[in-house]
Amino acid sequence: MPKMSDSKWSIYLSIFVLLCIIVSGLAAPLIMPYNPFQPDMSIRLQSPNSEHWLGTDALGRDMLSRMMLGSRNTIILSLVCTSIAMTAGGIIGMLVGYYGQTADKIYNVICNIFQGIPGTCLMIAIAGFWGPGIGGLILAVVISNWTGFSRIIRAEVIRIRQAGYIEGLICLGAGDMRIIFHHILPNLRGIMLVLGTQRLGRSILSIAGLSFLGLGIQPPAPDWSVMINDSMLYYRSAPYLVLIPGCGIFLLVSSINNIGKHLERCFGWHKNEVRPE
Amino acid sequence: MSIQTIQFIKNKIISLIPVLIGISFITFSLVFITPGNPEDIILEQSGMTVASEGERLQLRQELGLDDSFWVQYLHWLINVLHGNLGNSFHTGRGIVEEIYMRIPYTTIIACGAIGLTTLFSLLYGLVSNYYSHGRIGRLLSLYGQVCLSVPGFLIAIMLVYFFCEVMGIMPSGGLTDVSGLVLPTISMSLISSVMIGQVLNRQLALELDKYYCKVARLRGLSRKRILLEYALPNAVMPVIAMLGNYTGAILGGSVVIEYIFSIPGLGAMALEAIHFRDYPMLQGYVLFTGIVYVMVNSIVDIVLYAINPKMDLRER
Repeated sequence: MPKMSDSKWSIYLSIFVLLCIIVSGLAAPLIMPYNPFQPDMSIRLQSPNSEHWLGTDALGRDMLSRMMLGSRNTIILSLVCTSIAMTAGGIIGMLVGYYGQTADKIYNVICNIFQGIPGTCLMIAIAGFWGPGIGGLILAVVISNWTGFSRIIRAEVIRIRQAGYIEGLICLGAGDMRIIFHHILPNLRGIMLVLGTQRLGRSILSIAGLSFLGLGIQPPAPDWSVMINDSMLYYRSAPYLVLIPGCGIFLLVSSINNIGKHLERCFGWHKNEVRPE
Repeated sequence: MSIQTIQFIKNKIISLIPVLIGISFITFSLVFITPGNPEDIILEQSGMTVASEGERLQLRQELGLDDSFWVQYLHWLINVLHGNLGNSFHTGRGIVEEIYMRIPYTTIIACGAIGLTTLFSLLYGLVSNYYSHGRIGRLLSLYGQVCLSVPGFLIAIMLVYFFCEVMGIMPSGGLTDVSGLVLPTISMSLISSVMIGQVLNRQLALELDKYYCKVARLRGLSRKRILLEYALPNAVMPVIAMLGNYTGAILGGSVVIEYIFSIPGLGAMALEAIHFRDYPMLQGYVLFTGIVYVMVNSIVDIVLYAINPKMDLRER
Protein backbone atom coordinates (compact mmCIF):
# COMPACT_ATOMS: atom_id res chain seq x y z
CA MET A 1 0.00 0.00 0.00
CA PRO A 2 1.42 3.40 -0.91
CA LYS A 3 1.63 6.03 1.79
CA MET A 4 -1.11 8.63 1.94
CA SER A 5 1.11 11.52 0.87
CA ASP A 6 2.30 9.40 -1.99
CA SER A 7 -1.18 8.71 -3.33
CA LYS A 8 -2.22 12.33 -2.86
CA TRP A 9 0.66 13.43 -5.02
CA SER A 10 -0.20 10.90 -7.72
CA ILE A 11 -3.88 11.84 -7.69
CA TYR A 12 -3.08 15.51 -8.24
CA LEU A 13 -0.76 14.54 -11.06
CA SER A 14 -3.48 12.38 -12.65
CA ILE A 15 -6.05 15.15 -12.47
CA PHE A 16 -3.55 17.58 -13.95
CA VAL A 17 -2.71 15.24 -16.86
CA LEU A 18 -6.37 14.55 -17.53
CA LEU A 19 -7.20 18.26 -17.51
CA CYS A 20 -4.31 18.96 -19.87
CA ILE A 21 -5.57 16.36 -22.33
CA ILE A 22 -9.16 17.58 -22.15
CA VAL A 23 -8.25 21.27 -22.45
CA SER A 24 -5.88 20.67 -25.34
CA GLY A 25 -8.63 18.66 -27.06
CA LEU A 26 -11.24 21.36 -26.51
CA ALA A 27 -9.03 24.29 -27.38
CA ALA A 28 -7.29 22.49 -30.25
CA PRO A 29 -8.68 24.73 -33.02
CA LEU A 30 -7.30 27.79 -31.20
CA ILE A 31 -3.86 26.58 -30.19
CA MET A 32 -2.97 24.13 -32.96
CA PRO A 33 0.26 25.27 -34.59
CA TYR A 34 -0.55 23.72 -37.99
CA ASN A 35 -3.52 22.34 -39.88
CA PRO A 36 -3.70 18.66 -38.87
CA PHE A 37 -5.26 17.63 -42.20
CA GLN A 38 -2.83 19.45 -44.47
CA PRO A 39 -0.34 17.00 -46.01
CA ASP A 40 3.03 18.33 -47.08
CA MET A 41 5.21 15.68 -48.65
CA SER A 42 8.33 17.84 -48.54
CA ILE A 43 8.54 17.54 -44.75
CA ARG A 44 7.33 13.96 -44.28
CA LEU A 45 8.67 11.69 -41.53
CA GLN A 46 10.58 14.38 -39.67
CA SER A 47 11.56 13.43 -36.16
CA PRO A 48 10.68 15.90 -33.39
CA ASN A 49 12.39 19.26 -33.97
CA SER A 50 12.01 22.92 -33.11
CA GLU A 51 9.54 23.62 -35.88
CA HIS A 52 7.41 20.50 -35.43
CA TRP A 53 7.66 19.69 -31.74
CA LEU A 54 6.43 16.14 -32.13
CA GLY A 55 7.62 15.61 -35.68
CA THR A 56 5.57 14.93 -38.80
CA ASP A 57 3.88 11.77 -40.01
CA ALA A 58 4.19 9.87 -43.28
CA LEU A 59 2.14 12.45 -45.15
CA GLY A 60 3.96 15.39 -43.61
CA ARG A 61 1.14 16.34 -41.26
CA ASP A 62 2.12 17.96 -37.97
CA MET A 63 1.96 15.38 -35.16
CA LEU A 64 1.40 17.89 -32.34
CA SER A 65 -1.73 19.28 -33.99
CA ARG A 66 -3.00 15.78 -34.70
CA MET A 67 -2.33 14.69 -31.14
CA MET A 68 -4.30 17.65 -29.79
CA LEU A 69 -7.29 16.93 -31.96
CA GLY A 70 -6.90 13.16 -31.53
CA SER A 71 -8.11 12.99 -27.96
CA ARG A 72 -11.55 14.32 -28.83
CA ASN A 73 -13.06 11.27 -30.49
CA THR A 74 -11.68 8.85 -27.94
CA ILE A 75 -12.89 10.79 -24.94
CA ILE A 76 -16.34 11.57 -26.29
CA LEU A 77 -16.91 8.04 -27.59
CA SER A 78 -15.75 6.38 -24.39
CA LEU A 79 -17.96 8.69 -22.33
CA VAL A 80 -20.97 7.93 -24.53
CA CYS A 81 -20.34 4.17 -24.48
CA THR A 82 -19.77 4.02 -20.75
CA SER A 83 -22.79 6.11 -19.89
CA ILE A 84 -25.10 4.10 -22.15
CA ALA A 85 -23.76 0.82 -20.81
CA MET A 86 -24.01 2.08 -17.24
CA THR A 87 -27.57 3.34 -17.66
CA ALA A 88 -28.74 0.13 -19.31
CA GLY A 89 -26.83 -2.13 -16.93
CA GLY A 90 -27.85 -0.03 -13.94
CA ILE A 91 -31.56 -0.08 -14.72
CA ILE A 92 -31.57 -3.81 -15.45
CA GLY A 93 -29.46 -4.56 -12.39
CA MET A 94 -31.69 -2.45 -10.16
CA LEU A 95 -34.95 -3.98 -11.35
CA VAL A 96 -33.61 -7.52 -11.21
CA GLY A 97 -32.01 -6.99 -7.83
CA TYR A 98 -35.16 -5.47 -6.42
CA TYR A 99 -37.75 -7.86 -7.80
CA GLY A 100 -35.59 -11.01 -7.76
CA GLN A 101 -37.15 -14.47 -8.11
CA THR A 102 -38.13 -15.32 -11.69
CA ALA A 103 -36.62 -12.16 -13.12
CA ASP A 104 -33.39 -13.04 -11.38
CA LYS A 105 -33.29 -16.51 -12.89
CA ILE A 106 -33.98 -15.26 -16.41
CA TYR A 107 -31.44 -12.51 -15.91
CA ASN A 108 -28.79 -14.99 -14.81
CA VAL A 109 -29.25 -17.09 -17.93
CA ILE A 110 -29.09 -14.01 -20.17
CA CYS A 111 -25.99 -12.80 -18.39
CA ASN A 112 -24.34 -16.18 -18.76
CA ILE A 113 -25.10 -16.09 -22.46
CA PHE A 114 -23.61 -12.65 -22.95
CA GLN A 115 -20.60 -13.53 -20.88
CA GLY A 116 -20.30 -16.84 -22.70
CA ILE A 117 -18.89 -15.13 -25.75
CA PRO A 118 -15.48 -13.63 -25.03
CA GLY A 119 -15.92 -9.85 -24.77
CA THR A 120 -13.35 -8.89 -27.35
CA CYS A 121 -14.58 -11.47 -29.86
CA LEU A 122 -18.15 -10.21 -29.51
CA MET A 123 -16.99 -6.63 -29.85
CA ILE A 124 -15.01 -7.34 -33.00
CA ALA A 125 -17.88 -9.34 -34.47
CA ILE A 126 -20.49 -6.66 -33.80
CA ALA A 127 -18.27 -3.91 -35.17
CA GLY A 128 -17.52 -6.15 -38.16
CA PHE A 129 -21.13 -6.98 -38.89
CA TRP A 130 -22.19 -3.38 -38.53
CA GLY A 131 -19.46 -2.25 -40.87
CA PRO A 132 -16.82 0.35 -40.06
CA GLY A 133 -18.22 3.37 -38.29
CA ILE A 134 -19.04 4.90 -34.97
CA GLY A 135 -22.49 3.33 -34.57
CA GLY A 136 -21.07 -0.17 -34.64
CA LEU A 137 -18.34 0.83 -32.22
CA ILE A 138 -20.81 2.16 -29.65
CA LEU A 139 -23.10 -0.86 -30.03
CA ALA A 140 -20.16 -3.23 -29.67
CA VAL A 141 -18.79 -1.65 -26.53
CA VAL A 142 -22.22 -1.28 -24.93
CA ILE A 143 -23.34 -4.86 -25.63
CA SER A 144 -20.16 -6.39 -24.31
CA ASN A 145 -20.06 -4.16 -21.23
CA TRP A 146 -23.56 -3.90 -19.80
CA THR A 147 -23.42 -7.27 -18.02
CA GLY A 148 -20.43 -6.19 -15.95
CA PHE A 149 -22.32 -3.16 -14.67
CA SER A 150 -25.60 -4.89 -14.05
CA ARG A 151 -24.05 -7.76 -12.09
CA ILE A 152 -22.41 -5.48 -9.58
CA ILE A 153 -25.40 -3.15 -9.30
CA ARG A 154 -27.67 -6.16 -8.80
CA ALA A 155 -25.52 -7.52 -5.99
CA GLU A 156 -25.46 -4.10 -4.36
CA VAL A 157 -29.24 -3.66 -4.65
CA ILE A 158 -29.81 -7.08 -3.10
CA ARG A 159 -27.59 -6.03 -0.21
CA ILE A 160 -29.39 -2.71 0.27
CA ARG A 161 -32.79 -4.34 -0.02
CA GLN A 162 -32.14 -6.42 3.07
CA ALA A 163 -31.52 -3.32 5.17
CA GLY A 164 -33.99 -2.54 7.93
CA TYR A 165 -35.09 0.81 6.59
CA ILE A 166 -36.29 -0.71 3.32
CA GLU A 167 -38.39 -3.18 5.29
CA GLY A 168 -39.72 -0.26 7.30
CA LEU A 169 -40.63 1.62 4.14
CA ILE A 170 -42.50 -1.41 2.84
CA CYS A 171 -44.40 -1.58 6.12
CA LEU A 172 -45.27 2.11 5.77
CA GLY A 173 -46.76 1.30 2.39
CA ALA A 174 -44.19 2.92 0.12
CA GLY A 175 -44.49 1.87 -3.52
CA ASP A 176 -41.79 -0.05 -5.35
CA MET A 177 -40.86 2.88 -7.57
CA ARG A 178 -40.61 5.21 -4.60
CA ILE A 179 -38.27 2.83 -2.82
CA ILE A 180 -36.15 2.25 -5.91
CA PHE A 181 -35.77 5.86 -6.95
CA HIS A 182 -35.81 7.65 -3.60
CA HIS A 183 -34.05 5.19 -1.35
CA ILE A 184 -32.01 2.68 -3.34
CA LEU A 185 -30.73 4.89 -6.14
CA PRO A 186 -29.09 7.47 -3.85
CA ASN A 187 -27.23 4.63 -2.15
CA LEU A 188 -25.82 3.53 -5.49
CA ARG A 189 -24.23 6.87 -6.36
CA GLY A 190 -20.82 6.03 -4.95
CA ILE A 191 -20.63 2.66 -6.61
CA MET A 192 -21.84 4.08 -9.92
CA LEU A 193 -19.14 6.74 -9.82
CA VAL A 194 -16.37 4.28 -9.00
CA LEU A 195 -17.56 1.70 -11.53
CA GLY A 196 -18.06 4.33 -14.20
CA THR A 197 -14.53 5.66 -13.81
CA GLN A 198 -13.00 2.22 -13.83
CA ARG A 199 -14.96 1.14 -16.87
CA LEU A 200 -14.16 4.39 -18.66
CA GLY A 201 -10.49 3.44 -18.72
CA ARG A 202 -11.32 -0.02 -19.93
CA SER A 203 -13.62 1.20 -22.67
CA ILE A 204 -10.98 3.64 -23.90
CA LEU A 205 -8.67 0.66 -24.32
CA SER A 206 -11.40 -1.32 -26.12
CA ILE A 207 -12.16 1.57 -28.45
CA ALA A 208 -8.46 2.01 -29.12
CA GLY A 209 -8.14 -1.69 -29.94
CA LEU A 210 -11.09 -1.63 -32.34
CA SER A 211 -9.91 1.54 -34.03
CA PHE A 212 -6.46 0.03 -34.34
CA LEU A 213 -7.96 -2.90 -36.23
CA GLY A 214 -9.74 -0.43 -38.50
CA LEU A 215 -13.19 -1.18 -37.09
CA GLY A 216 -13.89 2.02 -35.22
CA ILE A 217 -13.01 5.59 -35.96
CA GLN A 218 -12.02 5.92 -39.60
CA PRO A 219 -9.08 7.83 -41.01
CA PRO A 220 -8.42 10.65 -41.88
CA ALA A 221 -9.99 11.60 -38.54
CA PRO A 222 -7.02 12.20 -36.26
CA ASP A 223 -7.39 9.60 -33.53
CA TRP A 224 -4.59 8.23 -31.43
CA SER A 225 -5.14 4.57 -32.20
CA VAL A 226 -5.81 5.27 -35.87
CA MET A 227 -2.52 7.19 -35.92
CA ILE A 228 -0.73 4.14 -34.51
CA ASN A 229 -2.28 1.92 -37.15
CA ASP A 230 -1.36 4.39 -39.90
CA SER A 231 2.26 4.44 -38.80
CA MET A 232 2.61 0.66 -38.48
CA LEU A 233 4.38 0.65 -41.85
CA TYR A 234 6.98 3.16 -40.69
CA TYR A 235 7.65 2.14 -37.12
CA ARG A 236 11.01 0.68 -38.06
CA SER A 237 12.35 3.96 -39.35
CA ALA A 238 10.24 6.30 -37.25
CA PRO A 239 9.29 4.65 -33.94
CA TYR A 240 8.21 7.99 -32.47
CA LEU A 241 5.16 7.87 -34.75
CA VAL A 242 3.91 4.90 -32.72
CA LEU A 243 5.33 6.00 -29.39
CA ILE A 244 3.77 9.46 -29.23
CA PRO A 245 0.13 8.46 -29.72
CA GLY A 246 0.79 5.40 -27.56
CA CYS A 247 1.98 7.66 -24.79
CA GLY A 248 -1.16 9.73 -25.23
CA ILE A 249 -3.39 6.68 -24.71
CA PHE A 250 -1.28 5.53 -21.80
CA LEU A 251 -1.39 8.90 -20.02
CA LEU A 252 -5.14 9.23 -20.53
CA VAL A 253 -5.98 5.72 -19.33
CA SER A 254 -3.53 5.66 -16.45
CA SER A 255 -4.75 8.98 -15.09
CA ILE A 256 -8.36 7.81 -15.31
CA ASN A 257 -7.44 4.51 -13.66
CA ASN A 258 -5.63 6.37 -10.91
CA ILE A 259 -8.61 8.59 -10.24
CA GLY A 260 -10.83 5.51 -10.23
CA LYS A 261 -8.60 3.83 -7.67
CA HIS A 262 -8.66 6.93 -5.51
CA LEU A 263 -12.47 7.13 -5.70
CA GLU A 264 -12.66 3.47 -4.77
CA ARG A 265 -10.60 4.16 -1.66
CA CYS A 266 -12.69 7.25 -0.85
CA PHE A 267 -15.96 5.37 -1.00
CA GLY A 268 -14.47 2.39 0.80
CA TRP A 269 -15.82 0.09 -1.80
CA HIS A 270 -13.72 -2.75 -3.13
CA LYS A 271 -14.84 -4.83 -6.01
CA ASN A 272 -14.77 -8.50 -5.33
CA GLU A 273 -15.55 -9.86 -8.71
CA VAL A 274 -14.01 -13.10 -9.77
CA ARG A 275 -15.36 -12.79 -13.27
CA PRO A 276 -13.68 -10.17 -15.41
CA GLU A 277 -15.42 -8.28 -18.20
CA MET B 1 -15.42 -39.30 -7.76
CA SER B 2 -18.10 -38.67 -5.23
CA ILE B 3 -21.82 -38.61 -5.88
CA GLN B 4 -21.90 -34.87 -5.27
CA THR B 5 -19.30 -34.29 -7.93
CA ILE B 6 -21.25 -36.32 -10.44
CA GLN B 7 -24.37 -34.41 -9.48
CA PHE B 8 -22.48 -31.15 -9.91
CA ILE B 9 -21.28 -32.18 -13.37
CA LYS B 10 -24.83 -33.18 -14.31
CA ASN B 11 -26.20 -29.80 -13.18
CA LYS B 12 -23.42 -28.04 -15.00
CA ILE B 13 -24.20 -29.79 -18.27
CA ILE B 14 -27.91 -29.05 -17.90
CA SER B 15 -27.20 -25.38 -17.21
CA LEU B 16 -24.99 -25.29 -20.31
CA ILE B 17 -27.87 -26.01 -22.68
CA PRO B 18 -29.68 -22.65 -22.45
CA VAL B 19 -26.36 -20.81 -22.58
CA LEU B 20 -25.28 -22.59 -25.75
CA ILE B 21 -28.68 -22.01 -27.35
CA GLY B 22 -28.45 -18.35 -26.36
CA ILE B 23 -25.00 -18.02 -27.88
CA SER B 24 -26.22 -19.54 -31.11
CA PHE B 25 -29.16 -17.13 -31.08
CA ILE B 26 -26.91 -14.09 -30.62
CA THR B 27 -24.60 -15.37 -33.33
CA PHE B 28 -27.46 -15.82 -35.72
CA SER B 29 -29.10 -12.48 -35.03
CA LEU B 30 -25.82 -10.63 -35.58
CA VAL B 31 -26.42 -10.93 -39.32
CA PHE B 32 -29.48 -8.75 -38.98
CA ILE B 33 -27.51 -5.69 -37.89
CA THR B 34 -25.55 -5.61 -41.13
CA PRO B 35 -26.34 -2.83 -43.53
CA GLY B 36 -27.67 -4.03 -46.87
CA ASN B 37 -29.22 -7.33 -47.92
CA PRO B 38 -27.36 -10.64 -47.76
CA GLU B 39 -28.19 -11.44 -51.38
CA ASP B 40 -26.63 -8.18 -52.53
CA ILE B 41 -23.45 -9.00 -50.65
CA ILE B 42 -23.27 -12.50 -52.20
CA LEU B 43 -23.87 -11.14 -55.68
CA GLU B 44 -21.29 -8.46 -55.10
CA GLN B 45 -18.78 -11.11 -54.02
CA SER B 46 -19.42 -13.25 -57.07
CA GLY B 47 -18.36 -10.34 -59.26
CA MET B 48 -21.68 -9.57 -60.84
CA THR B 49 -21.91 -5.83 -60.83
CA VAL B 50 -25.50 -5.51 -61.93
CA ALA B 51 -27.70 -8.42 -60.99
CA SER B 52 -31.15 -8.67 -62.46
CA GLU B 53 -34.18 -8.62 -60.21
CA GLY B 54 -34.91 -12.24 -61.14
CA GLU B 55 -31.50 -13.44 -60.01
CA ARG B 56 -31.90 -11.64 -56.74
CA LEU B 57 -35.29 -13.15 -56.10
CA GLN B 58 -34.01 -16.60 -56.96
CA LEU B 59 -31.12 -16.23 -54.57
CA ARG B 60 -33.42 -14.95 -51.88
CA GLN B 61 -35.54 -18.05 -52.32
CA GLU B 62 -32.50 -20.36 -52.26
CA LEU B 63 -31.25 -18.81 -49.04
CA GLY B 64 -34.70 -18.83 -47.51
CA LEU B 65 -34.54 -15.13 -46.78
CA ASP B 66 -38.28 -14.69 -47.24
CA ASP B 67 -39.08 -16.94 -44.29
CA SER B 68 -39.72 -15.43 -40.91
CA PHE B 69 -36.85 -14.80 -38.51
CA TRP B 70 -37.66 -17.80 -36.35
CA VAL B 71 -37.93 -20.22 -39.27
CA GLN B 72 -34.57 -19.02 -40.56
CA TYR B 73 -33.05 -19.39 -37.12
CA LEU B 74 -34.42 -22.92 -36.77
CA HIS B 75 -33.06 -23.93 -40.17
CA TRP B 76 -29.70 -22.48 -39.32
CA LEU B 77 -29.63 -24.15 -35.89
CA ILE B 78 -30.47 -27.55 -37.36
CA ASN B 79 -27.66 -27.13 -39.88
CA VAL B 80 -25.25 -26.13 -37.13
CA LEU B 81 -26.20 -29.16 -35.05
CA HIS B 82 -25.36 -31.29 -38.08
CA GLY B 83 -21.95 -29.64 -38.18
CA ASN B 84 -22.78 -27.55 -41.22
CA LEU B 85 -22.04 -23.86 -40.77
CA GLY B 86 -22.45 -23.07 -44.44
CA ASN B 87 -19.88 -21.96 -46.97
CA SER B 88 -17.64 -18.96 -46.94
CA PHE B 89 -18.71 -16.17 -49.30
CA HIS B 90 -15.11 -15.42 -50.05
CA THR B 91 -13.24 -18.71 -50.45
CA GLY B 92 -16.22 -20.93 -51.10
CA ARG B 93 -14.93 -23.59 -48.73
CA GLY B 94 -16.95 -24.89 -45.81
CA ILE B 95 -16.69 -22.81 -42.65
CA VAL B 96 -15.98 -25.83 -40.46
CA GLU B 97 -13.12 -26.80 -42.74
CA GLU B 98 -11.82 -23.23 -42.68
CA ILE B 99 -11.90 -23.08 -38.86
CA TYR B 100 -10.29 -26.50 -38.66
CA MET B 101 -7.37 -25.26 -40.74
CA ARG B 102 -6.85 -22.24 -38.49
CA ILE B 103 -7.19 -23.95 -35.12
CA PRO B 104 -3.61 -25.24 -34.74
CA TYR B 105 -2.05 -21.76 -34.93
CA THR B 106 -4.38 -20.19 -32.42
CA THR B 107 -4.18 -23.23 -30.13
CA ILE B 108 -0.41 -23.07 -30.01
CA ILE B 109 -0.36 -19.36 -29.19
CA ALA B 110 -3.22 -19.64 -26.73
CA CYS B 111 -1.62 -22.55 -24.86
CA GLY B 112 1.70 -20.74 -24.73
CA ALA B 113 0.00 -17.57 -23.55
CA ILE B 114 -1.97 -19.39 -20.85
CA GLY B 115 1.18 -21.15 -19.64
CA LEU B 116 3.13 -17.92 -19.49
CA THR B 117 0.23 -16.11 -17.85
CA THR B 118 0.09 -18.75 -15.12
CA LEU B 119 3.82 -18.49 -14.53
CA PHE B 120 4.00 -14.70 -14.60
CA SER B 121 0.91 -14.20 -12.47
CA LEU B 122 2.17 -16.61 -9.79
CA LEU B 123 5.50 -14.81 -9.78
CA TYR B 124 3.90 -11.38 -9.73
CA GLY B 125 1.45 -12.24 -6.97
CA LEU B 126 3.98 -14.02 -4.74
CA VAL B 127 6.80 -11.54 -5.14
CA SER B 128 4.64 -8.46 -4.75
CA ASN B 129 3.07 -9.99 -1.65
CA TYR B 130 6.36 -11.05 -0.10
CA TYR B 131 7.92 -7.63 -0.64
CA SER B 132 4.70 -5.67 -0.23
CA HIS B 133 6.26 -3.16 2.16
CA GLY B 134 9.53 -2.71 0.34
CA ARG B 135 10.76 -1.01 -2.74
CA ILE B 136 10.25 -4.09 -4.92
CA GLY B 137 6.57 -4.20 -4.04
CA ARG B 138 6.19 -0.52 -4.89
CA LEU B 139 7.97 -1.08 -8.18
CA LEU B 140 5.79 -4.06 -9.05
CA SER B 141 2.60 -2.16 -8.31
CA LEU B 142 3.83 0.65 -10.56
CA TYR B 143 4.57 -1.91 -13.27
CA GLY B 144 1.06 -3.28 -12.82
CA GLN B 145 -0.44 0.18 -13.19
CA VAL B 146 1.51 0.76 -16.39
CA CYS B 147 0.50 -2.61 -17.85
CA LEU B 148 -3.18 -2.01 -17.14
CA SER B 149 -3.14 1.39 -18.84
CA VAL B 150 -1.50 0.38 -22.10
CA PRO B 151 -3.45 -1.10 -24.99
CA GLY B 152 -2.34 -4.63 -25.86
CA PHE B 153 -1.37 -3.74 -29.40
CA LEU B 154 1.09 -1.12 -28.19
CA ILE B 155 2.90 -3.67 -26.01
CA ALA B 156 3.16 -6.02 -28.96
CA ILE B 157 4.47 -3.30 -31.28
CA MET B 158 7.03 -2.17 -28.73
CA LEU B 159 8.24 -5.73 -28.18
CA VAL B 160 8.61 -6.20 -31.92
CA TYR B 161 10.49 -2.95 -32.17
CA PHE B 162 12.96 -3.74 -29.41
CA PHE B 163 13.55 -7.41 -30.05
CA CYS B 164 13.39 -7.45 -33.84
CA GLU B 165 14.59 -4.04 -34.92
CA VAL B 166 16.96 -2.88 -32.22
CA MET B 167 18.38 -6.18 -31.04
CA GLY B 168 17.50 -8.33 -34.02
CA ILE B 169 17.19 -11.60 -32.11
CA MET B 170 13.60 -12.52 -32.89
CA PRO B 171 11.59 -12.92 -36.08
CA SER B 172 8.96 -10.22 -36.35
CA GLY B 173 6.21 -12.38 -37.77
CA GLY B 174 5.06 -15.78 -38.89
CA LEU B 175 5.20 -19.07 -37.06
CA THR B 176 7.99 -20.86 -38.84
CA ASP B 177 9.77 -22.12 -35.74
CA VAL B 178 9.66 -21.92 -31.96
CA SER B 179 11.34 -18.53 -31.78
CA GLY B 180 8.41 -17.05 -33.70
CA LEU B 181 6.22 -18.09 -30.80
CA VAL B 182 8.06 -16.16 -28.12
CA LEU B 183 6.98 -12.59 -28.79
CA PRO B 184 3.28 -13.25 -29.50
CA THR B 185 2.84 -15.31 -26.35
CA ILE B 186 4.73 -12.85 -24.17
CA SER B 187 2.79 -9.87 -25.47
CA MET B 188 -0.47 -11.71 -24.89
CA SER B 189 0.36 -12.77 -21.36
CA LEU B 190 1.83 -9.55 -19.96
CA ILE B 191 -1.43 -7.74 -19.32
CA SER B 192 -3.51 -10.68 -18.14
CA SER B 193 -0.73 -11.90 -15.86
CA VAL B 194 -0.75 -8.55 -14.08
CA MET B 195 -4.53 -8.68 -13.65
CA ILE B 196 -4.45 -12.21 -12.25
CA GLY B 197 -1.31 -11.49 -10.22
CA GLN B 198 -3.04 -8.59 -8.50
CA VAL B 199 -5.97 -10.82 -7.57
CA LEU B 200 -3.54 -13.41 -6.23
CA ASN B 201 -1.80 -10.72 -4.21
CA ARG B 202 -5.11 -9.63 -2.66
CA GLN B 203 -6.13 -13.22 -1.91
CA LEU B 204 -2.76 -13.95 -0.33
CA ALA B 205 -3.10 -10.88 1.86
CA LEU B 206 -6.56 -12.06 2.95
CA GLU B 207 -5.27 -15.54 3.80
CA LEU B 208 -2.22 -14.23 5.65
CA ASP B 209 -4.55 -12.17 7.79
CA LYS B 210 -6.36 -15.28 9.05
CA TYR B 211 -5.52 -16.99 12.33
CA TYR B 212 -3.87 -20.13 10.98
CA CYS B 213 -1.23 -18.04 9.26
CA LYS B 214 -0.72 -15.83 12.28
CA VAL B 215 -0.38 -18.89 14.51
CA ALA B 216 2.11 -20.40 12.13
CA ARG B 217 4.09 -17.18 12.30
CA LEU B 218 3.99 -17.30 16.10
CA ARG B 219 5.25 -20.86 16.00
CA GLY B 220 8.30 -19.44 14.34
CA LEU B 221 7.85 -20.55 10.74
CA SER B 222 9.51 -18.35 8.17
CA ARG B 223 7.44 -15.91 6.17
CA LYS B 224 8.44 -17.61 2.97
CA ARG B 225 7.27 -21.00 4.16
CA ILE B 226 3.92 -19.67 5.39
CA LEU B 227 3.39 -17.88 2.11
CA LEU B 228 4.18 -20.88 -0.08
CA GLU B 229 2.86 -23.77 1.99
CA TYR B 230 0.00 -22.25 3.98
CA ALA B 231 -1.46 -19.29 2.17
CA LEU B 232 -0.81 -20.14 -1.48
CA PRO B 233 -2.90 -23.36 -1.71
CA ASN B 234 -5.88 -21.52 -0.26
CA ALA B 235 -5.44 -18.36 -2.27
CA VAL B 236 -4.91 -20.05 -5.58
CA MET B 237 -8.48 -21.25 -6.16
CA PRO B 238 -10.00 -17.96 -7.34
CA VAL B 239 -6.91 -17.53 -9.46
CA ILE B 240 -7.60 -20.80 -11.26
CA ALA B 241 -11.14 -19.61 -11.89
CA MET B 242 -9.81 -16.37 -13.30
CA LEU B 243 -7.41 -18.23 -15.56
CA GLY B 244 -10.42 -20.01 -17.04
CA ASN B 245 -12.04 -16.66 -17.66
CA TYR B 246 -8.93 -15.31 -19.25
CA THR B 247 -9.01 -17.88 -22.00
CA GLY B 248 -11.73 -15.57 -23.32
CA ALA B 249 -9.48 -12.55 -23.14
CA ILE B 250 -6.75 -14.56 -24.83
CA LEU B 251 -9.07 -15.72 -27.62
CA GLY B 252 -10.13 -12.13 -28.17
CA GLY B 253 -6.64 -10.72 -27.82
CA SER B 254 -5.39 -13.15 -30.42
CA VAL B 255 -7.10 -11.07 -33.10
CA VAL B 256 -4.79 -8.13 -32.50
CA ILE B 257 -1.73 -10.28 -31.91
CA GLU B 258 -2.26 -12.35 -35.04
CA TYR B 259 -2.74 -9.14 -36.99
CA ILE B 260 0.53 -7.67 -35.75
CA PHE B 261 2.61 -10.85 -36.04
CA SER B 262 0.87 -12.00 -39.25
CA ILE B 263 -0.09 -15.43 -37.94
CA PRO B 264 -2.87 -17.13 -39.94
CA GLY B 265 -4.97 -18.16 -36.94
CA LEU B 266 -8.64 -17.76 -35.99
CA GLY B 267 -8.29 -14.06 -35.20
CA ALA B 268 -6.77 -13.38 -38.59
CA MET B 269 -9.66 -15.36 -40.07
CA ALA B 270 -12.14 -13.06 -38.32
CA LEU B 271 -10.40 -9.97 -39.65
CA GLU B 272 -10.33 -11.39 -43.17
CA ALA B 273 -14.01 -12.21 -42.85
CA ILE B 274 -14.75 -8.62 -41.84
CA HIS B 275 -12.62 -7.29 -44.66
CA PHE B 276 -14.39 -9.37 -47.32
CA ARG B 277 -17.78 -9.00 -45.64
CA ASP B 278 -17.83 -12.78 -45.28
CA TYR B 279 -20.63 -13.00 -42.74
CA PRO B 280 -21.06 -16.79 -42.41
CA MET B 281 -17.36 -17.01 -41.57
CA LEU B 282 -17.68 -14.33 -38.92
CA GLN B 283 -20.68 -16.15 -37.51
CA GLY B 284 -18.65 -19.33 -37.39
CA TYR B 285 -15.91 -17.50 -35.54
CA VAL B 286 -18.24 -16.09 -32.89
CA LEU B 287 -20.00 -19.42 -32.40
CA PHE B 288 -16.75 -21.34 -32.17
CA THR B 289 -15.05 -18.99 -29.70
CA GLY B 290 -18.22 -18.84 -27.62
CA ILE B 291 -18.47 -22.63 -27.40
CA VAL B 292 -14.78 -23.04 -26.59
CA TYR B 293 -14.95 -20.36 -23.92
CA VAL B 294 -18.04 -21.81 -22.26
CA MET B 295 -16.58 -25.31 -22.34
CA VAL B 296 -13.26 -24.24 -20.83
CA ASN B 297 -15.03 -22.36 -18.07
CA SER B 298 -17.27 -25.30 -17.26
CA ILE B 299 -14.32 -27.66 -17.08
CA VAL B 300 -12.52 -25.24 -14.79
CA ASP B 301 -15.61 -25.03 -12.58
CA ILE B 302 -15.83 -28.81 -12.39
CA VAL B 303 -12.15 -29.16 -11.55
CA LEU B 304 -12.46 -26.53 -8.85
CA TYR B 305 -15.48 -28.26 -7.40
CA ALA B 306 -13.68 -31.60 -7.44
CA ILE B 307 -10.74 -30.06 -5.59
CA ASN B 308 -12.85 -28.32 -2.99
CA PRO B 309 -16.62 -28.88 -3.02
CA LYS B 310 -17.14 -26.29 -0.28
CA MET B 311 -16.00 -23.51 -2.53
CA ASP B 312 -18.66 -22.05 -4.78
CA LEU B 313 -16.74 -19.38 -6.58
CA ARG B 314 -19.63 -17.97 -8.51
CA GLU B 315 -21.41 -16.95 -5.34
CA ARG B 316 -18.64 -14.69 -4.13
